[in-house]
Amino acid sequence: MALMTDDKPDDVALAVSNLHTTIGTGPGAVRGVDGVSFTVRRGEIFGIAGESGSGKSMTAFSILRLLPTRGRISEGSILFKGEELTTLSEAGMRKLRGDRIAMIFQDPMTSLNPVFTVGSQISEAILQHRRMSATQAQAEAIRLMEIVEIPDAASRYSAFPHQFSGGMRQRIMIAMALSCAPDLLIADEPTTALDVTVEKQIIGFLQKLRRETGVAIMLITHNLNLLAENSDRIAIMYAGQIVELAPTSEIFANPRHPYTQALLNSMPRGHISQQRLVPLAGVPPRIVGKRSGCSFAPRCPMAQELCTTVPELRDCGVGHSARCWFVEGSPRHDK
Amino acid sequence: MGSYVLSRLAQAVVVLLAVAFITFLLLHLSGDPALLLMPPDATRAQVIEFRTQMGFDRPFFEQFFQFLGRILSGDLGYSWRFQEPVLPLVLERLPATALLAVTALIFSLIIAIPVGVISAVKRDTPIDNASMVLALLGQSIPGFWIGIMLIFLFSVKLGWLPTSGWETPQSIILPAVTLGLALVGRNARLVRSSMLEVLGEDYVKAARAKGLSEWRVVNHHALKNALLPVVTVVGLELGILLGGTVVIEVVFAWPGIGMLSVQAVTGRDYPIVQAVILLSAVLFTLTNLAVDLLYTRIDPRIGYK
Amino acid sequence: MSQRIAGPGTLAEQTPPPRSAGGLSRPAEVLLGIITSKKAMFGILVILMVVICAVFSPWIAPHDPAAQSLAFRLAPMFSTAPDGTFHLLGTDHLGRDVLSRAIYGARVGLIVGLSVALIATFIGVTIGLVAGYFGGWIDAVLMRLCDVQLALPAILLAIAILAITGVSLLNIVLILALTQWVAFARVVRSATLSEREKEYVLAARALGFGSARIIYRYILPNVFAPIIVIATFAVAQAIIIEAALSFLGLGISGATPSWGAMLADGRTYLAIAPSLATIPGLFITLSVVGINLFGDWLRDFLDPKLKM
Repeated sequence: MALMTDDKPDDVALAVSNLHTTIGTGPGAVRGVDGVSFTVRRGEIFGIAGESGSGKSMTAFSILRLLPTRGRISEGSILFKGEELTTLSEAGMRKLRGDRIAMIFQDPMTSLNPVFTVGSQISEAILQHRRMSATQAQAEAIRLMEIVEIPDAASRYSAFPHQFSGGMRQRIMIAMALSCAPDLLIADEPTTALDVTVEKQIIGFLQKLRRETGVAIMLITHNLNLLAENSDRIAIMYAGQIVELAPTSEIFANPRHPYTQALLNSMPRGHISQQRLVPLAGVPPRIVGKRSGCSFAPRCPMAQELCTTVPELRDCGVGHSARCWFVEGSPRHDK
Repeated sequence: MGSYVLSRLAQAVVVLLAVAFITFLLLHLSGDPALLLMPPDATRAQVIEFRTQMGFDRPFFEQFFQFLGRILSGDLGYSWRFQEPVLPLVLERLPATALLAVTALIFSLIIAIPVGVISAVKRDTPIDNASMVLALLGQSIPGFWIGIMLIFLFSVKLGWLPTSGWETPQSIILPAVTLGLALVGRNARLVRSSMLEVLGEDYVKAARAKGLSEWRVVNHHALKNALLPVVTVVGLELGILLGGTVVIEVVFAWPGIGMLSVQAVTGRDYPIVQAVILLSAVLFTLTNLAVDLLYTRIDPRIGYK
Repeated sequence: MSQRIAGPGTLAEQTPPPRSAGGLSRPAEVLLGIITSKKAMFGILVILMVVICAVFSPWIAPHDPAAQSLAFRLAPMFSTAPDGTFHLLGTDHLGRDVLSRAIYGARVGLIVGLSVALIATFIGVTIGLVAGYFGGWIDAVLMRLCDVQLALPAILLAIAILAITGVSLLNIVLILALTQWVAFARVVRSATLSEREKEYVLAARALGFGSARIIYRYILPNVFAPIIVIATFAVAQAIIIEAALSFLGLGISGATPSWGAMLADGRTYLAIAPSLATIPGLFITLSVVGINLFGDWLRDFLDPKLKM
């Protein structure tokens, strides 16, 4: 990893390198995450974008080691603040989860347990990781609810999730994630289920949070527009791999991978009303067994004979790399 | 909330009226209800007198409303075999049936909940497969046969437990286990499938992401949700069991309403049969009503809808 | 809360449609499913055995099931009578051959099981389709009817009716069918409720097709899978209840041997000849387990999400 960044080690919250996560075993195993490498720095919002099934959520769950029963990390390394997570004991992982690495989920409607009060669910997270009495935890939970601006927090402590709106529930999820001042916050499609005004508020919170606490945020979304103004760097994922990785401004100004270009062409950008939107046809494949060439080739307008050979990530600018044969630059050697 | 209770109550009343009508019809199946209700050795004059007294010569629906009036005033007829009014006779046997029903249900849940939870958590492992095959077996074995086999083993061969009747506290063990075994199978499968569904929910992932132990995730966050649908089914089961577990009571000569009613059928003592059918239906309907209303208390989501 | 629609600026949130395994035809898929599942194979094997016993009982049974031999009563298993006849499973209290009676017993079980399931399917499916399709007060009335059926104590009502009307195969089948239809009605109703809102049904309505035609041509085929599964379980259930009725003395009696009646007779001799009560119970259990295993596999195979 040292090769690719000039960060001071203290600055790196998370360094994932050559991560492979498979679902199932034997010849039918699906390559959910297939050789993914990236770093997330302290105080940075790192965006991961891709269609469903591109492996972005699988990457997040690999970091927390909360994979489905048949899933496992088969190769690679996940360094969190210098600590290797792939070999850490389950008890060690449990100490990290919810304490130093927190996660918020896509659907705030379903990610809070319907049969417990919201307050007790926040307190539970606090008590899990801090030495505190139940009364202290309750006071702390109410304080957190106030931080995420839930009106009348003290009396809402004993309300049930269904008594809150979607936006309010996501704030409660954030309060829960904040309960132990994490170093890394993984937000998996945190606003997808919410409407646009609520989305702004929630993202506003995340921005404020990283400014004030320096938490590193991994913002996973299928909505590139959201990342345009709210991320520092973006990784574009396709079929389990990162196909392009660059600072946010670079991705939008100078997209190099045809997939990124297609994505940008399919969405309205800025206020250019003359722009023609080109919809992206088809769906990303699931990769089983060996890769035969570039995974995007079947949907790629530029695909040629060469694309039947698997391309590697190539550097094509400062902190900019893309996985395409038609990008000039030197192959990266981070494996 | 109030309107929900009212509509459920109204439904229960309609159902019970229909049940009353069916028990009323039962007597007309043979053509002459008077003959069915009188002792076989009654004289012709007695039958004719009884027929007029009960109004069986009146128009059909008039008879039904008379019947309704009688049962509403607590008059469920007179048993000529016991020479007693039927209602107290049946109520006297009810505690034995209720005790057996509750014991069997508790026994089944004590086994079914852990088995269902473990099966769900260890999905598709040998433990899961074995538990589910055993559960299916439990559902497939006729209760009366298992009862006889248990009597043979524990009473006849080993002499550990009484064969039948209700003389000692141990008497309840065999009938309750027999009745419970059939329920274990169904309930374990139900707990498993409900648990599997809940384990896939986001809030379970979220609970794990909080750093909770797997034990707490499963037994605190998942189980409480998974048991919600189980409550409804257990309520149904209790309702059915309270109505008399005819076959098992006969096998073990358990002095409950099931046994009483079978004796009444064999002895052609139809007022008792009628009374037990009515009482069963009332108990079933009331239990279900109670469970539905209880549900609004235990599932926080429902009370506010 | 407004649901956001995937549009420009958001990537398609969809997954590819599931592929049929190797493009097999439906019957071939079913066959392959059966062969590759131990559960299904065992179930089918048991069902076949029961069917063969029932259909070919005169050829399979070693003795006349009604032939009594008062001189050779309550013989244990593997015994040979003085006249040289061998009784694999012994003889009962009238000296009749237990194995032969058990083989003949498959007839009553199977006939009752199948006809009950058939009639219950017809009643339940009809009620469920009508309730689900027409809704409103028709639905309310039919669903109360289900409640009434569930509230009645099934076995007690059955023995009471049989005692009044007299025991016959037809009466037993009709009464048992009445205890089994509710499951069909409820499942078919809820399936119909969701089917009728789908576009192909709306399209058929728009074309002016009559309700009966829409129900039978468009909705019925789509609720077929759960019906088959419930029917399988109903066969097993009917076999158990029929045996229970025989056990209570209100089953088919006389020359036709039935497992339940054998069990009831054998119970009296539990202390001296325990096999008399054990053997018919094993036959009932084995057939019911077989049918249930098959039904269980069928449910997983046809629709893994099906909840019953």
